[in-house]
Amino acid sequence: MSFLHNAGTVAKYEAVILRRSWFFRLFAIGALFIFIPLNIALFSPVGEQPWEFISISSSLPLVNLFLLNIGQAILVIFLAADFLRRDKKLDTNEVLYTRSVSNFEYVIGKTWGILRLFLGLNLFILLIALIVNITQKNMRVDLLSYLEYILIITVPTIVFSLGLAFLLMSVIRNQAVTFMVLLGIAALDMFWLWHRAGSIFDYMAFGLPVFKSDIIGFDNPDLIFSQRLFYFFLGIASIMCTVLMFKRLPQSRLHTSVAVIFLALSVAASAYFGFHTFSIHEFIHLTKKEVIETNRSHESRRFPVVTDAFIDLLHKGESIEATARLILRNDDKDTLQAYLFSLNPALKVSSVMSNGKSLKYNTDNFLIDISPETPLLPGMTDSVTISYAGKINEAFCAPDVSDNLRDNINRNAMLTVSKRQYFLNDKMLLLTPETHWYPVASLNYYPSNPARIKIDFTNYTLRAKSEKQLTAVSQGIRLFTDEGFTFLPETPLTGLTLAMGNYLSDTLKVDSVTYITHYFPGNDYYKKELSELKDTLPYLVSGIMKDLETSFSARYPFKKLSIIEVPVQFYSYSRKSTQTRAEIQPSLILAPEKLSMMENAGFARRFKNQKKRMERNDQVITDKELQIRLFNDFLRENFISGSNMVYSRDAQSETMYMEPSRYRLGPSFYFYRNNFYSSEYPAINAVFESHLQHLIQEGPGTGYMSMFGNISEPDKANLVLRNSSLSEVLSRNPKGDTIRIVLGVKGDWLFNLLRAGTGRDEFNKWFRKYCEENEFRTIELMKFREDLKNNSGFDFYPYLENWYKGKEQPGFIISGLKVTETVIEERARYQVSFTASNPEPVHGVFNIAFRGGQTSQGAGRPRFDGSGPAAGQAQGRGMDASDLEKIVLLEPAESRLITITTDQRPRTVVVNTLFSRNIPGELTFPVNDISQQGKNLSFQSSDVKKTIQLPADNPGELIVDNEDSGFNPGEEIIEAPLKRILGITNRKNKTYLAVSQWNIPEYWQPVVSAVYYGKYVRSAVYTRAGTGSLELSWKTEIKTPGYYDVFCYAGKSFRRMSVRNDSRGSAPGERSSGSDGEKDEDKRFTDFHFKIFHDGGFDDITFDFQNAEPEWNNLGRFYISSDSAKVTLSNKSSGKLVIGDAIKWVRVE
Amino acid sequence: MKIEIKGLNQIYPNGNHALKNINLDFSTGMFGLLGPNGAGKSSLMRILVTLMKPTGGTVLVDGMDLQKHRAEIRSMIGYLPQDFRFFSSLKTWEFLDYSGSLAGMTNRRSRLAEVDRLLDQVGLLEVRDRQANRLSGGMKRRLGIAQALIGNPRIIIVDEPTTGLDPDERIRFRNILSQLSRNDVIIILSTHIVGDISSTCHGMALLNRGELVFSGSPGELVKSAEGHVFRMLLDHQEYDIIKEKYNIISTVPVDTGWDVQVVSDEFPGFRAEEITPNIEHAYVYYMEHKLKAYIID
Repeated sequence: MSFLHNAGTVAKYEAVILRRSWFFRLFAIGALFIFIPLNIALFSPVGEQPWEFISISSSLPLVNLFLLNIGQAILVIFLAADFLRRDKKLDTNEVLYTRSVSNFEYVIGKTWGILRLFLGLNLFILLIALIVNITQKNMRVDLLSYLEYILIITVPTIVFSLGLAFLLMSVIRNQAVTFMVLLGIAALDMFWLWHRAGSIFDYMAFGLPVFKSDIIGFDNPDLIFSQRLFYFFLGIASIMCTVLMFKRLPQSRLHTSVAVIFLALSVAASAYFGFHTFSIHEFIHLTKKEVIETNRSHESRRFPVVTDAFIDLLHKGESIEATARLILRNDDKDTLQAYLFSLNPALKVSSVMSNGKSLKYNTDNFLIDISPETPLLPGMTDSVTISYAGKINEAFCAPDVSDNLRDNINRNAMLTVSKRQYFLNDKMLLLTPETHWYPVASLNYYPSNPARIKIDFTNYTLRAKSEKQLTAVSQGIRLFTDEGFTFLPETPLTGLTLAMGNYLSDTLKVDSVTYITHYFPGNDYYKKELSELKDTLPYLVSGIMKDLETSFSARYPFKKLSIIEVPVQFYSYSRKSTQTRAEIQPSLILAPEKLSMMENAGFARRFKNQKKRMERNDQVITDKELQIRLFNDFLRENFISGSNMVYSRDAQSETMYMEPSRYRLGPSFYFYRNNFYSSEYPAINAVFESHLQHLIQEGPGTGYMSMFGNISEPDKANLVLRNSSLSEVLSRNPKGDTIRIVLGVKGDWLFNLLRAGTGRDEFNKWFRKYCEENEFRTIELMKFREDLKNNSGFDFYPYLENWYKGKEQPGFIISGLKVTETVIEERARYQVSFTASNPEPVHGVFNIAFRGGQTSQGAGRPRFDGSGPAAGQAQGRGMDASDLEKIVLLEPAESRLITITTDQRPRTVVVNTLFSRNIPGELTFPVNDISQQGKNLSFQSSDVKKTIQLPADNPGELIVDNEDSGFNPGEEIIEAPLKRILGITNRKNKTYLAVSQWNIPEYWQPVVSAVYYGKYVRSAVYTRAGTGSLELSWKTEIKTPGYYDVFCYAGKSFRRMSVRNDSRGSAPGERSSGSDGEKDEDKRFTDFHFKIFHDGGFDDITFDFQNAEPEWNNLGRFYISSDSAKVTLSNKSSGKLVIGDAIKWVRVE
Repeated sequence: MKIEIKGLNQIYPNGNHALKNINLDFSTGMFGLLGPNGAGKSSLMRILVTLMKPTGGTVLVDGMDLQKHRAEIRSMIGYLPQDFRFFSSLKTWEFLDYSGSLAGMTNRRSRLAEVDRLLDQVGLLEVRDRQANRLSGGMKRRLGIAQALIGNPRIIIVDEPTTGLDPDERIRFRNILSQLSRNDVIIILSTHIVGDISSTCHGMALLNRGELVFSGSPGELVKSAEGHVFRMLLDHQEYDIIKEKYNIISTVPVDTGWDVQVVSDEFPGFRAEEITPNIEHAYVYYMEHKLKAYIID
């Protein structure tokens, strides 16, 4: 009693004192000013109501506590560090020390006082949240989550912060130093430590995935509770240390002993939970390592093909029991001595039978190595029955992907969401093929060639029963019997997915496809929100499907398309063997609960917003029309096009790129339908997939990416391939999106070659039919070669060796562009001609497209297949490549005069050099002059071979580009005094970028753009304007002394036609911006200061870049003999940026 | 009720020997601790109120060792430290309530009644809701006295309590202590102001440079000065001579020169008449004569 009374008294008055402190008052008032508007603005009916937040009920308390916790974790440091200082400073506190209170009671009282004050504030903020929650009709109220998040987020954070602050203050006894140390720890957590070692350092749960699903609740209670208890007990231990170290004579042996016991217990508990938290991470880490090594040691093994599988599965809550009877065929040329299967390592095999007899088998990690009674001869079939039971080890699924939280972070707005590959509990079962929940006849990863994949098209028959009476959903024809659910095969599949839950279903049959939605009770809100669509729905769905089929030039191959709702934590990692994500399965889409993390969901709010906007603009639209628009936007943005920005790191750099939406249905039209296989070129399927599902993104170019100065994906890929072959890049297994973009470029090259060799339309027609005829079948590449050769006479195989293993890149020089107009039969026709040269010793393929008519470059909405006008880089991708005028195959060291005749007036000629040394790889040439050629003149119709001719070979002209050896970027000088003192050097990125909107480098950063000068690499270097401390120089050797005109190249966009009413068209290569406004000249470049060295010393020349022409600009005439040909450019400028490109000396005759 | 101090020593880490072998007993009633600044009074006080552990020696409170029975002894103590100025942001009554609650007054209602009674007693009832930090210096002192008294402590230790108090407040404070001393409590009053040792003190001790130089009743101290205090009327020349030779306790200008009181071991001449010493005379005589002689010896 005395303890409670004393500690309670201290706590009571400590809370009063804190409540009256300015720190706390300001914080509390600030919190109210932030959180009341925030809750109203985000969650209330009058607010923005972002669907990702309001769809899942836990997000409301979580958003509030997540934000509040960051503030209070810092504030608590100030308050706690004040604790001992105040005791020291306030002489009146001495009288309290003479009272009969033990140090234990005193410190506990103080701690409880601070804690309860913060808890009060947290409860108050949550009360606001709860009121908003109740007023929000679209959102459930999950009262329990309010309590859970206080316990998970607030309590451990405050107890730990308090304890640490107390302890440090007791040890260091200096408030300023304690502040700095604690603030440093808080900052470290938020900026550096939160994602490391499985979140073990994340004391404020800044990045710990605590997002809770409305279907299954927390997916990772083990991690959450052990991590939070680790910090809670660490805090308690620190508080007990403070009790023992408290600068006041102790009075109670009992309490001192209690403190010692608590200290020991809490140290032990925190050690246990800390170790447990770390071991969760370590287990994942080790599993991945072991899985990779097991895969590595079996890479050379051959596998049977599974033609049929009969799986019996019993769901037992947190585990499964299953039997799989597999029909095997040996498609190999050699006899199979053993059958190798991989099964999730947490599933344990109990027996392997064949024809009623037990077979011998060995297991190695996830591999089952079965010895058949007799070896399986080529072309023969056999069957095995494997019984197994257990759980799922999800670290197995993506062994090459780091488990670091920050890599591939899954965020719902600001909140970190777990990345679950499966669910197996009383409420939910979700098993995708990636988990290998049934025996799969292949490895799940090939370390020496991560793009390799083995795919079987199998007829799956599944019988599934749940002890928890859950409804089963899978592919195939569903039957329900007393035995449970049975799924009979409709089409062969690359893998089988099983979901079990309290599912309800809706079915719609349109054309020959049945569309089924499987959702959890109450989650079919969209029916109400899109109620007007009822009658129109079949037409809409049919229209979308037809669009898809047209886009991919293929028929949807399945009889069903099911959308299955899965908990929000479901997440698939990108793989290197395919770009298909696990959210899309054959004839299945796994959609997050209430479509929460999908684009354009939350129809009611969107409806309201758009309606308002339209009313403001006096636009009239019926509710039905608007709902149709919303529904179409949703489908297109998720299942057809749409991309997400991804932040990725690899060893060299940190990049951001756009990743295709993971719900895109593209795989249904290639990856789940066809499979090309080659043991010689194992990446072939990934390459076909990349091209046919047009998975490379639209270039630098669009939207945010250009603002960060990123270059386009094909350019990045070509830089990667500059000194490495495709096979080398694959075997290096680089992180990030490197493999994806390299496969994309190589795929585009290969298909452009096939079209160039066969004829575009001929190839397209033949290939479409070929894929259809070989639906759900694996096609050997050699067979494909033979079939194509027989059909068209073109053999692509000789090119493949170099395509896969060659390091050389072709390079293209385009010159002499000429457009001629004539009138034939009252119609204007145009001939475009230019010379294309490939001086390099390897074959090169490039394609040509026109952008003509009234469409200005960059304008208009990109078409969903990425081939729209703004999507320049996508040209010639996909099954049809119908946007191309011509594909040209150039031999090594070949020059050719290319001529193309067109009916439409071309405004811009775009040459996509695909795989080449050209950076940027897309060359755009504005058509400025069109010569008239009288009437009815016939055009030359075929290309003419020419001797190789390179520009810039004019005698008397000397050009030094920034890529040449005569160019010197000077020494790097650190200007910032602090950086100089601390010895911080600039993070220099050698790779090319584009001129960035932000984060301007303090050094000369190489940048590429079609507007710059260059042979292949059209590059320049730029930097932030400074005082003249940085200097570039161009030097050349002048053989003939005399007068020279000195020119500098102004790499800048042409002014747009609409801006200046002259005859010039849009910019050559002006492609780096998404919005029209950004295409105007960059006003950050103003005056540049050149120094031109000549025989009389040097002249300072100020060059007005703003008003310069986008070409060579004369800087003056100078007498120069051999040793003085030098030009320098300093970073001095009154503008913001300085750019240096190329210098030309032209001898004056 | 008895406090026995045996062989108490306090040496600070900087080598300052603040208390040297102090042996002293306190019994019920008021006890005055007198000595110049730096004599070791506050160190002794801080040891007695358990804020500091002595380097050596023992203190027994009713037979209980101060170091072993801190909880029990702390529950008997009411303490007013020398510096009592800076408060946490608590109101006057809250501070008192906080102290009372920690002093073991668990019943909230009776505690609040006691808070108001004490506030009334020290004349702070009107400012009970004012922030303690905003009280005047005297008021803070009074609040300090009130908090020392709350919870009916059996040992009241007040360190330099009258510093900064105006004469009225000083008298009021003495009266409060006098009243209390009639109960079964020990009041230890430390001061360097001789006048604070009122006649109500039944015992007193004199500390100098960490040593106990006198212990007994105020009467004994006064008695020791008998025959050594003289009064004389001097002209200016005589005054200059006397000033050089003796410790002058008081000097009052009169028409013919000066009315002067001095302490001296010998008869100073100059028409001096012996007068009855008071405690102030006795303190000066003790500090200036007996102690000097003691040091020289």
